[in-house]
Amino acid sequence: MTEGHDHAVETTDKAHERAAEVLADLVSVASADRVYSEPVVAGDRTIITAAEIHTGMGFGYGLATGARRVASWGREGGPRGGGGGGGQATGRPVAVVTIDPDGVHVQPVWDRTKIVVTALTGLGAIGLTLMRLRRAARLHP
Amino acid sequence: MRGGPVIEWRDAWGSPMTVGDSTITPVARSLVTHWPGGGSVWSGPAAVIVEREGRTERIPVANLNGRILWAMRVGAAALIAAWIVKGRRRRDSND
Repeated sequence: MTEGHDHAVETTDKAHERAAEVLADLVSVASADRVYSEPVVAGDRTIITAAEIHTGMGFGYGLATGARRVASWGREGGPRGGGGGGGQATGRPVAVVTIDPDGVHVQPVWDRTKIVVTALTGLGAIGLTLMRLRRAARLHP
Repeated sequence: MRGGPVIEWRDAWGSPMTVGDSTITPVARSLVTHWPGGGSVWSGPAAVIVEREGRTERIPVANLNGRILWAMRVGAAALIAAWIVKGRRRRDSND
């Protein structure tokens, strides 16, 4: 193979290794210390918040090594490649743990906005499907 | 990370903290999925372990929002699927 091909393969391998490192860092989110906050003391109460965290990432790349492929681009030169990736991270409080002289209490945190938005989205999807089914029933009785 | 797709549940214990005469140990639960081109991690609280006066108590931390949201999504999907199946059966019986 050509020097250009070797360089492209080496670069791709480096990108894959780097992506694997990022992914390994991502898995480190799976620890209790990330989910629970530091305790906050207020008078005789200690409060710890608990959250759910979701992170995700994906990446991909390609390498064109064949002469035909390069020729089809109308360019001279060696192999070419490209890649890309993306990720997201979200967090939401789930519960509050309160420790007071009476004991330990766990209270859920209600995310009303998300519940209402999900309910409206669900109702919208149901309504849309019902309309389409009725239309299909009229057209094909 | 170069292997095939992997899905695993993990329980992770946090550092114990002493509050008054109680020792609190938080426990988190994670769903880790990874595949050659990426990965995803969901982590949430599972329970707190309370040690007090020689007794150990496990207090679950329920994710009520998550349960409600999943119940709504599954309910909507089931309703839509049921209507589609019913419509197809009706068309088949008319044919």
